[in-house]
Amino acid sequence: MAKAKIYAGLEIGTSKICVVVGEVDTDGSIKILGIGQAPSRGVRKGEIVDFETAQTCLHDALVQAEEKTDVMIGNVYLAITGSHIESLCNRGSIRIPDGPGANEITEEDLDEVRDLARDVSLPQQNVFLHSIIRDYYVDGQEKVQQPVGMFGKVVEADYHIIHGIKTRMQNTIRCVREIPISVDEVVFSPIAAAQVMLSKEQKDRGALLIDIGGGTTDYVMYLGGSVAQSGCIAVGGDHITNDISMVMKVPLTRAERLKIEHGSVMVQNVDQDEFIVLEDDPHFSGLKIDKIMLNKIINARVSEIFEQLRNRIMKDDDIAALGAGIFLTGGSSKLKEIDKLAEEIFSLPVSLASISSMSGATAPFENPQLATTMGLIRYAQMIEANKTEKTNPFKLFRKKLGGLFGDS
Amino acid sequence: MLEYERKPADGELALDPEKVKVIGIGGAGSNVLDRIALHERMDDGELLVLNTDVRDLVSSVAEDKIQLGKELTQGLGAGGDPDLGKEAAQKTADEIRAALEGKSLVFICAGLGGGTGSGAAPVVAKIAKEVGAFVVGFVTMPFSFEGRRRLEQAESALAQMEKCTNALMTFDNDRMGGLINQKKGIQQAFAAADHIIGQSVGAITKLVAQPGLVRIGMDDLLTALKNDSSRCLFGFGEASGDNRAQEALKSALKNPLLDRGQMLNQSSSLIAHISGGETTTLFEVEILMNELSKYVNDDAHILFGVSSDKKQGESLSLTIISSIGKAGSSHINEPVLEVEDSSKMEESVQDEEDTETKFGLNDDSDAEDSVFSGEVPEPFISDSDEEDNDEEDNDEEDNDEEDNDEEDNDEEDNDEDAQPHQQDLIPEKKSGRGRFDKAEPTVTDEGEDLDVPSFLRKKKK
Repeated sequence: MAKAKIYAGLEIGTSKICVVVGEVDTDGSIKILGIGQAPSRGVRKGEIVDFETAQTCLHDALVQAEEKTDVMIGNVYLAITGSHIESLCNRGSIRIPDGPGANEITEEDLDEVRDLARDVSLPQQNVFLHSIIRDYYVDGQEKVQQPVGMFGKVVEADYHIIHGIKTRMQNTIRCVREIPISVDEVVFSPIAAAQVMLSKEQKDRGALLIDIGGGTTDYVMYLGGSVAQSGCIAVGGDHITNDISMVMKVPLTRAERLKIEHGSVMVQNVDQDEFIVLEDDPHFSGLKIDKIMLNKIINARVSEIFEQLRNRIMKDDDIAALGAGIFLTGGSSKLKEIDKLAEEIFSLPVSLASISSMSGATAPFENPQLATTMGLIRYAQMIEANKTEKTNPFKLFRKKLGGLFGDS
Repeated sequence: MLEYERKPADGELALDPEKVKVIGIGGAGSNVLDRIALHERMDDGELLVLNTDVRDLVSSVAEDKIQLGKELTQGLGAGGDPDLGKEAAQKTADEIRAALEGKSLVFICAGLGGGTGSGAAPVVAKIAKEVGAFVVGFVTMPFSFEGRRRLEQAESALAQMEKCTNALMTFDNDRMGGLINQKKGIQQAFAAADHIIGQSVGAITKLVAQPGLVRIGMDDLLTALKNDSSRCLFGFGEASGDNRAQEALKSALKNPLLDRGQMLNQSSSLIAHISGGETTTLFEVEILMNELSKYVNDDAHILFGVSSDKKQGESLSLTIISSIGKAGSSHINEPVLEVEDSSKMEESVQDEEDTETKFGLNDDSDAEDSVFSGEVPEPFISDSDEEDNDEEDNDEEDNDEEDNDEEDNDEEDNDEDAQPHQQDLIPEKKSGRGRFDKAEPTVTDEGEDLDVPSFLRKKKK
């Protein structure tokens, strides 16, 4: 393990397919070697709807990444999302048997607790994507981080469980495998993004990361250092473009440009008679666009996304408990003044997240569109570090047997 | 199916094994009884087998046997004809009455759909009731592969059974056999069904007969089964060892009728009965109940009982009994009346639209809807499903065709918000969504289609 390791992260997004190749040094620092990007087609709302087209785009992105980094990509960490992915928290508890030398908590006990916590009733077609430990409780003592070796009678564990429909996840995986490239691990997008977008301190204080992508808005909320909620709303930047196109009666490409170049989520700062002139071309007679109108359309959509999100989160947790506030990322977070609108709706400090804890030439990669894929590299490093830590060969073997979804 | 006024006082029933009779009627019934006799260690009641087929009768291990309609069928079966079964039972009524005399609790197990079971079971139930016993019926609905004819026979028998039993537990064979033994032979599928019924008969007898620390009586059983037209939920688990509380719950929930505990969140009241040897600790009970409550709706009424039985030794067992019917029994004040209503509706549906009934019941057993026993009229199914989580929407879309007859009317004056059913929330008319016309719709819990520009929707309001 003295050698630096190279990982590749892949996200098949609704608007673009992105591959990041990173090198993890022996001291754990990450250096991004290069990225490959291709506009994505055949993907709607984070899920593939046209297999072959998506595969061609994926191929383009991979080739680009390989050329830039001079690395043969043989296996990737894959980020997935989709409206079918849901999460919940569950607690498992076991009693440590009495007896000579007993009452000491062992690894096996924790495994058992985990199995119990994971024993929730999922819909039949769903499988586990992640089960993330939140806290252990030993005989009522809260927030025990590492109970192995402690004495206790009752061990409880809170797990955050993320699950989704098996076949829908398999579709994305299959698309990659047919390239052919093997998939090391499947990661729910916002979980990956949070690895680089949120610092440990922010997670401890409580933070909500909102990744507004092209087709979906993914979110993950940390409370007390661990994942409290996560999920996906199948509405994203595509919807904004679509809204503009439909209301203004302009082609989608024009709408996209309007959104990026002129649009803002706030209506207030626009002068009364500000117009944008769209020039005519062979397929489109020119149009004068009222900027207030444009911003109203964007505002309506983005506020709705935030409101939906707030309502979802408020179902289980109090949003005011977020000490570090809200962090926005993803391509649509580049919309002008989106942070102000989020502040209004959530009444919390909102900032545009920036990649932390990466070394090397990160400056060219300071793009919120890359948050998830960058995060994948960090995630890969953590998984790998965990694996080498637990050198028990039996466990490794079991992990391998556990298959793609069984363990995480 | 419930008639409260005829419910005898609790104490009257309790404890005396002499007063409990378990009757198996027809082939399926006697199979269940055999299983009880062999596996369930039932020592709290007498077993009685009634059958027209003398060969079946001989092979049964029950101590009491009565041959139905000796002259009528000459020792042969009823040949799948319920009328013959009914006549046979009526001819032997005196003998049956004599056997039931003085019993205060009678269980009737029968497989509906065949001749003897469908025909004789209602007759026997009536006799038992006349004798003054509290009658609990355990009936199975036929597998869908047994054909429509048997299904119809089963349904009409079920309607009759409802009138003359105090409580009726309906087991759907499709559900029970299909889930455990999908790939195995029919024999094993039937055996699995028998096993579950055997367990539940044993468990209920134990429940009401055993002295309890926290006792559960017939009244509790009635509450748990209060949903009329019910599909019965039953789970039984037994475990021993260090972690027996969890293990017992785990295996109880594994029962296919509970669908890993998922079905429980639809029930409004359930019985949880814990029985264990002298080593049962309060802690174990607490853990178990805490875990169980995760599967149950917050405002569900949990009828909780504990009893200790020396015979169980180190093991701990958990019995879960509940039922789900329509969208929670709270809306239904008059259960008895409602049952008659629904059975009438069912009959009329059968007459006019044979095909629809057939679809509703014969379709793939994976779909949520088909596990409902036949007598639930279609509209109510969607009501109760509304409480489910969103994932099931997909299932329901698939089943839309079954319900088409009702929807046709709605579709014409299409107004998505006004339609009460979950499956209708996904609008049929997919205009106004631009590039998302062909994509999977994103619809909120409130039924708002998020693909339509928010700007336009806001303006409408």
